[in-house]
Amino acid sequence: MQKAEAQIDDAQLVARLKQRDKSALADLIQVHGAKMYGVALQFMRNEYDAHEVMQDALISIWNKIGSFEGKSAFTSWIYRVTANAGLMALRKRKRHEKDVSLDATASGEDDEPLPALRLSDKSPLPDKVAMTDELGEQVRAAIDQLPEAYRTVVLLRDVQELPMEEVMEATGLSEPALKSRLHRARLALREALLPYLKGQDIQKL
Amino acid sequence: MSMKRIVGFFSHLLHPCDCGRTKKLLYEFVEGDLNSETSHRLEKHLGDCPSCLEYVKSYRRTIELTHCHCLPEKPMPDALKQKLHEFIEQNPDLK
Repeated sequence: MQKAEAQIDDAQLVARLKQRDKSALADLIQVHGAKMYGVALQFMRNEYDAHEVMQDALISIWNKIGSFEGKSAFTSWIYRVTANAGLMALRKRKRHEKDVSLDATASGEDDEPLPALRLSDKSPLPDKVAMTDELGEQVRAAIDQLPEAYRTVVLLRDVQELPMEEVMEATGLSEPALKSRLHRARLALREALLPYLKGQDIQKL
Repeated sequence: MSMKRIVGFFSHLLHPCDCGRTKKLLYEFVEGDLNSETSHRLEKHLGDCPSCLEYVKSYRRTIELTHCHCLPEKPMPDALKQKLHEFIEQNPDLK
């Protein structure tokens, strides 16, 4: 019988993983699997590839748990590992497709028009309770429509909040290229979400 | 409407350079990468220019929304959960 989520705490999970207790991985899935799946799905956009990413993430967690020192929350660490697994999978897919856009520097991007993102519903703003759900859907839809190179930096930096250095390392982008790409991605998202931004204090949502 | 608000409303016409500068320095400003003098000047402009202030606010809100709303927990399909449990049991890399 699987343990109830409330009975499994992260400190125990870490200790058991460090002791090479494989059943801790099963418990990890039980407790944090949904969020890891969300991260994997966000990168890969389909269940099949998300499954592969989950597997890669589990192997990474298993192999790297020794280097987890508890400086950040365990949850942040495992989502970061999952995000990195997602990024690696995207890079692998791109190499396979002989498309280097993920690795390309952003030179020249500044002159290109921002990608236009189309959201399904721009009806009058609903009340704040409904707004939370609708906003979530619209934000995810907008991110999903970003070109992959933009989407990747947004997911790593603004969603996962990885430090710039880690995003640079993961993407192979120089600092100016990363900043430029991130800025342009944010501008495209802002443009798409504008009807939902005006006059809304999101801190209160 | 007070004179200050009127001046503020037309600030982007009176000081187009500062409006252009706001857009140009937007990323660095929001990330806190500007030196204090430039940052102070930009803040002063934002105090006078509702249009630029709204622009900066909407950029910040976009980043916050992206973080807050992007990743809700999704229920993992049972079949996938089962596959992952089998993977954990059988994969030779997990020893």
